[in-house]
Amino acid sequence: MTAPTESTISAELRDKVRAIIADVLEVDAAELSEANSFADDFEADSLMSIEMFSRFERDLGISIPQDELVDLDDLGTAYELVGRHSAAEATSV
Amino acid sequence: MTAAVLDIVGCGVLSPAGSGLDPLAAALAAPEGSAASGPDAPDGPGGEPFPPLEVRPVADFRPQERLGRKGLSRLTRSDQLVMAACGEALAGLARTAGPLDEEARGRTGIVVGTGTGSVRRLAEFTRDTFVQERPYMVNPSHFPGTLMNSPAGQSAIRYGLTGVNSTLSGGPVAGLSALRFARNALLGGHADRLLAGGVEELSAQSAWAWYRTGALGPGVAVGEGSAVFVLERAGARPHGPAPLGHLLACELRSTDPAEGAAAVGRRLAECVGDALRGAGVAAEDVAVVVPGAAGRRGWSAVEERALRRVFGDGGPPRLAAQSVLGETHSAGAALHLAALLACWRDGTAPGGTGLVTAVGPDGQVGCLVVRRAADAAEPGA
Repeated sequence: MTAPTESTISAELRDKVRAIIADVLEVDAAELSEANSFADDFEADSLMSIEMFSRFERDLGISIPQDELVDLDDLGTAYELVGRHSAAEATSV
Repeated sequence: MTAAVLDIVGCGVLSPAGSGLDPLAAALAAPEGSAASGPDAPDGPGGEPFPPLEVRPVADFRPQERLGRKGLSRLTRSDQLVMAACGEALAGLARTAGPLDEEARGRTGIVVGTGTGSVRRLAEFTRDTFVQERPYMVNPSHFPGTLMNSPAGQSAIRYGLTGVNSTLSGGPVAGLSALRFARNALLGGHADRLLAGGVEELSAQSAWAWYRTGALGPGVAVGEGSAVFVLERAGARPHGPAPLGHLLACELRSTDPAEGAAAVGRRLAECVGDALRGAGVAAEDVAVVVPGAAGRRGWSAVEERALRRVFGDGGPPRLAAQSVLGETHSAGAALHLAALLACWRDGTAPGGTGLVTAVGPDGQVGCLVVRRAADAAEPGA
């Protein structure tokens, strides 16, 4: 379970991640596509990245290790990080 | 004396009666008909469960429509209320005198009276620092809203007002503190125009405080709102629209609450006497009094005794706006002034000179003296 492939994140989890990010960015989830840059298209700042990671942990129970807390700027990276760590948590149980 | 007079050239008001002076005047004329909605109404504050008290959120608030969605969730309800009130005041000013240019915005500022800023944001943020497992799980973008000066600061940024920006904390007298501060700043030439007033947000946290302390008078609801007044030196715009009123005096005093409620009452009577003298108004020329403490158990009697000391038994009619607003704490004095201006414009309160008073349980007292503009604008103007 180390390969960070898209198949590691379910459609349901993907929707939840997208909803959290849309909520933090204060846009409709429908406005958010994988081509968007959070910073360029939605004026996201580094505080919002922290807010997203914090919401992943609070709302989804998925914690991302500190050394992987990057300035989240696109949906693909978010799916990849959440997918990888949700899989890690599932296998560690 | 005219040198110390300020014109109230506009205002922005959000109250449980709705937006602006007209719904406030209508609700005060028929308080029984004013519908109270709960904390969970679409525009209500929401949050934690409320105690079993009647609450009166601002009616028809619609912050998303007024302020746009962007950035809204990071703003506290206090931020939103002040921002919307300032927006309304500036829009009114722009309708009559055109929008402020950059130079004018540099000489225009905001002065807000508050208790402690957003009680809810303070409580939630502080709680999170204790109960969350990691530092980053305390939402960093909620920190600015814990600061008392957030509403004044956020509003100034939004509207590009780079003049004097100040926040005064003071419970029920906070609105008067802000108006007095603004008055001094304008008369001292530190600004040309100030949006000054008060704010109080409804929250479960503060409603529980009212419930547990039993500090409300019988049947009094907990309210919220914000009122800001656009103040300029008298006659600064000889060709401008008629002002809503003239602020003749605004005085504050304090006494040690340990000396007892009677001492606080005596201090208020002195304060009113000084303010009337300063304004050159005889007690018998005061046409209407708006009592600040009418919604507070015990303090309403202290205030009433002080008023009798000044005016004798009877005296001018009292306009107790708490019937519509509920107890609005640090927005009280500003909303009470708005209530008086609203009734004057509507012709439902005796014209001439009015007195707005406030009493704080911490021993702070204050009052302002306001005169109805001779040619006050017609309703809806």
